[in-house]
Amino acid sequence: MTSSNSFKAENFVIKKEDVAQFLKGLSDYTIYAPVQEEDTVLFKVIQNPDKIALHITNTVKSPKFVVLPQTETMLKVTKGKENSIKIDEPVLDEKNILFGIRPCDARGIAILDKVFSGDYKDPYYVKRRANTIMIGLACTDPHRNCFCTSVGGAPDSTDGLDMLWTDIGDLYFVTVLTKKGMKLVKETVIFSKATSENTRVMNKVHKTAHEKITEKLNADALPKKLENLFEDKYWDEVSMKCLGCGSCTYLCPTCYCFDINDIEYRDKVKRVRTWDSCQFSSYTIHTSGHNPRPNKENRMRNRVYHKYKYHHDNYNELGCVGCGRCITYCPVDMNLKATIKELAEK
Amino acid sequence: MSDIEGNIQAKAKKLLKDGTIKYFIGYENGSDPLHTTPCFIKKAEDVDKIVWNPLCVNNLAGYLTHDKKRELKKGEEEDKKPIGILVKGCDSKSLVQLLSEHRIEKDEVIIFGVPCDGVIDPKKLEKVLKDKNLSVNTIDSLTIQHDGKNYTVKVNGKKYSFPKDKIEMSKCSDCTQPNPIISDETFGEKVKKSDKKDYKTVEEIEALPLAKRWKFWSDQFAKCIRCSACRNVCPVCYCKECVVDSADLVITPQTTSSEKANKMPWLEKNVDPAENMFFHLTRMMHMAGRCINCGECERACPMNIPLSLLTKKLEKEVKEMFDYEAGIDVEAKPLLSIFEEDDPGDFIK
Amino acid sequence: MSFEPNIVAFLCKWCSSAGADLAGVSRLEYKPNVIPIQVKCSGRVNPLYILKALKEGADGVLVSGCHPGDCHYVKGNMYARRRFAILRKLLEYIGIEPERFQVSWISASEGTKFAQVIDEVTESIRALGPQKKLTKVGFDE
Repeated sequence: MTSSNSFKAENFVIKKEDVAQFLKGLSDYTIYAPVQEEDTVLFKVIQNPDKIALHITNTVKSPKFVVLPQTETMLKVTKGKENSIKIDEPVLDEKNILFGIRPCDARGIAILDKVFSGDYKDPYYVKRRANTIMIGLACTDPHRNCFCTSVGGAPDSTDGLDMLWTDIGDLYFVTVLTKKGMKLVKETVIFSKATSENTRVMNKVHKTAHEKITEKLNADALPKKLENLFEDKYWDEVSMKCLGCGSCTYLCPTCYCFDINDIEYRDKVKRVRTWDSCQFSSYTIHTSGHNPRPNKENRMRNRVYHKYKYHHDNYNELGCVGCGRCITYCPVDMNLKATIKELAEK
Repeated sequence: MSDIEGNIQAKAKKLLKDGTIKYFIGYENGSDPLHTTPCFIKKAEDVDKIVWNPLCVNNLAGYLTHDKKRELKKGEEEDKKPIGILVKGCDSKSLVQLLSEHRIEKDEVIIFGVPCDGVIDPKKLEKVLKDKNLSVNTIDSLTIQHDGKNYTVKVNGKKYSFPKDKIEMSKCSDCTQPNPIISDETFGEKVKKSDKKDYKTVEEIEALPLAKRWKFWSDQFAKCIRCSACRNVCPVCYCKECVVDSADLVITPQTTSSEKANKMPWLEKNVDPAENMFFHLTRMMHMAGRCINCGECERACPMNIPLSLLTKKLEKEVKEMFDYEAGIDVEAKPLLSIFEEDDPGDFIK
Repeated sequence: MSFEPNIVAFLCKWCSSAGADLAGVSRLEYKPNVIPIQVKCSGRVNPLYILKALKEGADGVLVSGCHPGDCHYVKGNMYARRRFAILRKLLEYIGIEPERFQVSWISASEGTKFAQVIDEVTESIRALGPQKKLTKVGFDE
């Protein structure tokens, strides 16, 4: 799913004023891009390229929903003739482009790739993912809460991307990373080859962005540290102000837990897969009524353990991309960065 | 450090030192200079973390019920000492509501009241600073002072003045309860604020034709991701099991398998306009006569749904129809467990 | 085919259900669009029931109980009245036609009123057309 090894990256440039034309030319695709409505910036299907808001650091909700929708209909069951039943599966052949996705969010999807199309291949995810082209936009103005460089990412990371665009003034520098990306470049004639001067500017932009992220957390120490901290009093202390809502997990680009339910309506049934959050008590409740994670400290611990230990145990990389959303949007200002720091020093 | 802040710290220190309270709930500096965050002070030597300034937005009253929901660990004993808590005027209404519902009792809490002249909305503050080319990334220090109609914000040593309505929480503009209704000790001078609630924003929506109202609300609720932040941040949403989490509804050893299987899924997990609407309407019904309009749900919502337009509507109707106001009187009976002979009934055939 | 509304009616056991029975034994004719659900008291009707009925595709909901002062449990209907007043205001505020949720007091002796209310409710909801706003989505043909 990630960039094929055989492909050699090629560099192009596109004039900023040509971007709208480029997007208009992609009429076969559903294009998702950041759109600002009032004070909220979200990835939305765009009809009018002028509405795209690329100036913001990042959207409120991560764009993972394009490949892992919050509500996915897995099948529908309806009554046919004479007590027979009819089962309809969704057709997932819509071709999507995620335009302007930040490298952290693209890394988030690269993490989901390992979960949903690794040993077990989830047919819904695999299909959606194969039909999705990701055009990344290198981050030039990281937010205070960003910490991608501490968790193996970078403001110009190419993980999961088909193209990486970089704002270099009047132009976007376009690094094409996969065949899927190359196809788009070839379909349109708007791109021209990058000059060595373009490359120099691009490198400078990337370097400046790197320098803006001054804080380096020792997140790499966590998988080992956490081995002995399961019963630590720290969790009681740090979770006291947690409300137990799921905003951190629902906005997160790497959280992928889901629940499956059958929804009835008259004589029809729909099986849906929805996001679930380990911060809810219903997440772990047993049918006996026993809940192995009864309190918010248990649930918050699980969130940190999953991202910094369990995921690492299984995939040998951290399950966090450092986008900082869980800090920015937490109603009580829970600070994951501080948690990482404190745990690393234990 | 202001006098108020110092006095709060000193009092909290005393209560912690002599073991009167198990912990003190107040505010400390947050993840960035634009935010404060709730803090739980357990040791007397930690009291200097406590801050009091116009960035102290959170309503802390809801935390009083958190311990009651907690399942004790093996061998852990419940600490029955009271909790010390800092409340502003509006927060004290939530506290009164909790007391009137006997969710907490008066002897379980020691109340530090602070008259409040308005608090800052961090989102608005971030926006006005951005307009002055001050990105949150570059702010190392920030202090706010209140002087009548304006706030003076000192950022990295430089002073800026902003009119109140530009950066204050919108709930503060028509606050009728700036002074704590109930407190064991009050810190600071009493404050005079508005005498009357302003329902202009609600009336604007009421005036829209039906189809437009529906368009407005269905668009808003389409944004909802059902993270439950609005419910969980609400100080009077304290139930251990919530009707919208059907998987959570009480199961005992006596519950039969068919009862479990046939449990009514009031709210389905799928996120779509119908379910979202159901969630918010149900929440509102449970808030009737209990919501004191502290605005926490709206503040907590990551998707910026204007939830206070709903809670304000509720407050307005409850006042108009039943002349009832939540969170004013500890002895008050709950709105929906009393009635008057002449309650409005003209909608009934 | 003309639109036939589906209406869920929560009828209290002591008055409105008996009123429905009286309408039946009196051989009164009324619209067949109502699905009656007997409850012990109109005070037993949680607003959740009403919202859930609408979510399950009801085009309208009627709750009917004893007249004020006649409640078998003395004051259940009085509590109900408060609750429903608020729910109606909320539904209207978010843009649901108020006719979708109606309330009536019908005593055991009012068979004629029962038939008349059912007809009125049915016609007023028929005029609005199908209720889609609060109905579960994704099940359309």
